Amino acid sequence: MTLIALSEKFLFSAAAIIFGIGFLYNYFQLKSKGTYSNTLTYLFLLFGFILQSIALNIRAILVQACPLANTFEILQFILWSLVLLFLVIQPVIKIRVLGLFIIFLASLVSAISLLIPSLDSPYAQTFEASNPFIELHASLAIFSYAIYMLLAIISSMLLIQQWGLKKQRFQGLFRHLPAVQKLDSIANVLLWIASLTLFIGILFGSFYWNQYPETVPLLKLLLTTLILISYALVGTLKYFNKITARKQAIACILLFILALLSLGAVQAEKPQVQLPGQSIESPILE
Amino acid sequence: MTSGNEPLLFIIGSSHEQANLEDRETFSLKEDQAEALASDLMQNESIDECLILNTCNRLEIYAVSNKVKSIDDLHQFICSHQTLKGTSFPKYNFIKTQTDAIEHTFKLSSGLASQMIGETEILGQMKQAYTQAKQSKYTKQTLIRLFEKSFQAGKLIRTQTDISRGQVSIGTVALNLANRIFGKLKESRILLVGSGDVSEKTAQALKTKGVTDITVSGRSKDKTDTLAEKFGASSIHFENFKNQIQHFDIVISSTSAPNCVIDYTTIQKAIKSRPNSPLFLIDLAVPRDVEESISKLENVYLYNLDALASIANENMALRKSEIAKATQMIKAQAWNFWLQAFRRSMFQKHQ
Repeated sequence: MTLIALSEKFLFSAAAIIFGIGFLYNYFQLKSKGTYSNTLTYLFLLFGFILQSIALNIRAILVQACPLANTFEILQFILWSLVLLFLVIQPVIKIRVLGLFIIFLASLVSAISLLIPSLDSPYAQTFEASNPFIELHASLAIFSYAIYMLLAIISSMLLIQQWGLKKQRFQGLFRHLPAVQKLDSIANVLLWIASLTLFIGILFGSFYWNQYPETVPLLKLLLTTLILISYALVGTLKYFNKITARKQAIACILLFILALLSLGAVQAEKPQVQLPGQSIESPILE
Repeated sequence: MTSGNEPLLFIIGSSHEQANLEDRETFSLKEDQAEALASDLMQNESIDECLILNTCNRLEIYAVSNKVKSIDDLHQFICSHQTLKGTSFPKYNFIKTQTDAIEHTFKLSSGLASQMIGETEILGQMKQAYTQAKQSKYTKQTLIRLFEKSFQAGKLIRTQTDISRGQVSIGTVALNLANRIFGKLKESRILLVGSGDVSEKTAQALKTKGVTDITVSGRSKDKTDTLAEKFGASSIHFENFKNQIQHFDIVISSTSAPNCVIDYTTIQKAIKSRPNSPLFLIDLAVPRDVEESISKLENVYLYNLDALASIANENMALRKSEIAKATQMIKAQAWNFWLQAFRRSMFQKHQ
């Protein structure tokens, strides 16, 4: 491994440690004092995000493309997008305890992606890297997954708040959760933004696949389209008052789990078609 | 403990400490029933003085007897009275005599025995019960002195300790809960069912929180209109409110009806026409106004008095040292009162 590759792994690990420390510190604050610092959570996430950004940038330089070719990279990219989303929207919308949920998920996903080495499997650089349409397609698709992840988090918060109200729980986390109706409104908006982003992502992909029909990843396309249709269906049913906020929240969490699981199938099916004259083994994995 | 010479002061009662809301509903007496019980007690030759404290959280019978040697007969007499026979009172009650009874009365007046520790409403309720008993000439020297002293003790403990500090009222808890559901309470539509004191206090609390959209519905049209006018609210006919529940976000019920006024079918129908908007029901009545099974409905949140009180008491841990301090003060006050009463009875005997 080269020094640059080592520093990239070190930065990913450092970001994971920052997220972990941030989560544990705030969790114990909440448990012992019944309160936690929003500002500190934000700063932990910001610091972790900076480290993760540098690490992803190094990886992008190494693979000469947007690093989205194996499960490790996809998980890190989704996480990076999620944290970025939070850092941007939080000062504007101010959703209480969202930071705590994000930092928990960031610690968990970072730890999983780093502790299972097989997720960062070697891959052959494909010709996809050279095409702006496919790059844009991949970035938008992953960004939409990050929004879906945020939607799953908001949905979990809504379900926890509803459960707490039904079971009359008021201490600790329950006291800090936002109002049911606020969470519901945010979930409605996120669902459509994520679906629109994914749709545009698929649209850009189709420009490329139109040029190279032999590269159409059938299973990937089918699964992604199915996920998009399912989300759109849930959103439509909710819009026409056919399902309640609770049912929408459950559906959104389940669909996100399915979307994550489908990543495995998508990776397995990923065409290893080499762009003539541009077949490069990922230097970091040599 | 009685030596047999001094009059027997006793309390037979039941409160939230002995009986839950469901059981308390069975012995929640109307004014005329409480009056009938007091009148019958006074006709019992063993009883010289009596006072009935009847609130949504407790039914307590204070009495003094100069003749009875054992409390058991009186206990039996009270529990088998027509207003209490067949209720949960005979099953869930307490008996306190002499110094224990004095201590209990002082605890009650200082808010230490209240469901929401430190609350002040009980003092008003005790004063009201005392005035009624005095007017009916059911009280004499012992109960008059006991209650007068208990009012003093209640005030003293509230001023010398911090038991009432940080006190959260039922109204505040209800409004905090509403905030957890709707976020912006000011934009919520609120229906008050019932036009009594509780509704008035609730309307007052809502107004101070900036709520503007309030509607009142009560059986008495005059009282309903007066209340609505006082708080700039609308009013709807009691017979019609069930058909209009779907238009409200929060329904606060506090009628004195003996049975449920809001049933499962009404809410099920209402929630169907507003599937994406939660409905928050607050039942402040004893007996309860809202059918318990309603809480099972999706998007419906139902809270009754016991639930609200337990939330309000969650900050009680912070006041634990103050409660211990107040309890010590009450013990000292009760003992002083007992000694004074004992000396007085001895002096009267030797005169």
